[in-house]
Amino acid sequence: MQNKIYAGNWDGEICKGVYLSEQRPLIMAGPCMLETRELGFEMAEFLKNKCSKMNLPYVFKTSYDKANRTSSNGVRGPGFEKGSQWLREIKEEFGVPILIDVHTPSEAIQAAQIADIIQIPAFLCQQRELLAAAASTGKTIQVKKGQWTSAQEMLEVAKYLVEQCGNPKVILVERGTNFGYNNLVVDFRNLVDMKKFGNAVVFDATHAVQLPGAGDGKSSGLRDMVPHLVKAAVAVGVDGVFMEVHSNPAQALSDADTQLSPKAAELILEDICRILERV
Amino acid sequence: MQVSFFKKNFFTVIERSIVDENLIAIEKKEILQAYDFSAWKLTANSKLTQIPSLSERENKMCELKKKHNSPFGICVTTADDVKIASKYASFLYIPGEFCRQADVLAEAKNAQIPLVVEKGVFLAPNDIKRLCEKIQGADFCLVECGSANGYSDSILDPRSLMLMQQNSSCFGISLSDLLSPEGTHYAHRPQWLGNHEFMKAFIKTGKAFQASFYVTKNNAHDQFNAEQILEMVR
Repeated sequence: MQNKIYAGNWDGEICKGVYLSEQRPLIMAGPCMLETRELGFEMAEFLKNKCSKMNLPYVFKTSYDKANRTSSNGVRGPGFEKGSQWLREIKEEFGVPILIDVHTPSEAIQAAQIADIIQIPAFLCQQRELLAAAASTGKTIQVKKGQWTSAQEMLEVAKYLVEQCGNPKVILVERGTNFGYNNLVVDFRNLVDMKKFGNAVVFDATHAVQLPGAGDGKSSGLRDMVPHLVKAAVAVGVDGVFMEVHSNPAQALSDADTQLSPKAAELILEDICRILERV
Repeated sequence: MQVSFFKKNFFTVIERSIVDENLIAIEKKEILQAYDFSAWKLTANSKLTQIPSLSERENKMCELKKKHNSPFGICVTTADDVKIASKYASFLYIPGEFCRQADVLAEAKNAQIPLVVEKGVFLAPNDIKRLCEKIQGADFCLVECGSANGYSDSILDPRSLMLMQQNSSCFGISLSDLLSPEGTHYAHRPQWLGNHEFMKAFIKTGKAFQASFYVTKNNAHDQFNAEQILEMVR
């Protein structure tokens, strides 16, 4: 469903027939880390089916390389070679667009072979080389707002990608702002501010509830808060909702305290539909 | 036991300079230079899209090495940067935004070259030890850049200084970052920009925690230059 023209005259199309939209927000969901091929298949199938049923557009998100874990002991994932092969199979099997995060300019070029959306992590949101490299692929670029940056600074990022790099396919993501140490708060004013000039804005529901570094060498989080934040974000108006979903969150190799179970994700999707009807 | 590079080379200030075509080696007593070969950080109204990689600027690094009599550092932001810069630099300078990037840190550690690593403004004091674990075995020092306190503001938290003292052989304080977080310029508190009294307070705090040096950027707005800082420290 195409219903809006974004900054740079972009129609919000991620890939054929999949659009960003405030009326039916794009659901970007999947496991934090592509731990195994089976996990990827299981989550893609489940989420694709649920989203289809609820008439919500869907993108499969995951990471094949977690390059900025809190601790040096943190597992990183299968890597590009294996990970991209699994993603190719997932794409073929379920016909879903893919979202992947990257950490270096060369990774961005590599990821473009498989990804429909290239995501720039929050810590690297102002790294010019990375932004320029990702933009040069012509793919949709999704940039997470740094936990310390203001909406104003993110508008500069979007402006740079659209006007200087010539890639209008830009999404900005709210994922919470440092509120003292080990705590994030979501300032909903950012959802409004980042939309200025017609930018597409997505709400990252599971990272927004993180308690960074609060888990003795890993991040902790307040998973129970996810549904409440999603309700508020959808009510304010977002073009997409991002969330991490794992078949067994307690056993997840990363972000175990914030990933959602499939059941919890399903309830949130139902909630989103209800809120959309109300607002 | 080998003496740390940072103890062997007496210095009070690290000055960060952006390299342009006209750069000549900057050598000042008690001031170490850390050169930034690419304007890697996006700032307001940026028009630069063709960013030369470090490998494209290798000639310039080579030239700098020939001209420099004193040790100097090069700013690195990727693992590839580390491989090139470590051939020419006396030490590597890793900005705070990259203090969790495993590949950059691992490559920097493997390069067996002294490292100056900034603490990201998003990093809680307790996570300083995680950062140090990633570069354990390297000759490194840390730099406190302040902690994000809402938008467009950062604060100097003494708890960070205490933990830096405990976790590294020496550490410094970035006065430029504390006085003018990049991209913000204290729009809401212009009177804070380059405030002389704040500068003195940060230096005094540094002295109390035995900070070994201070960092300044020579391209920052309304900043004190390295010589002025040196004067204040004395």
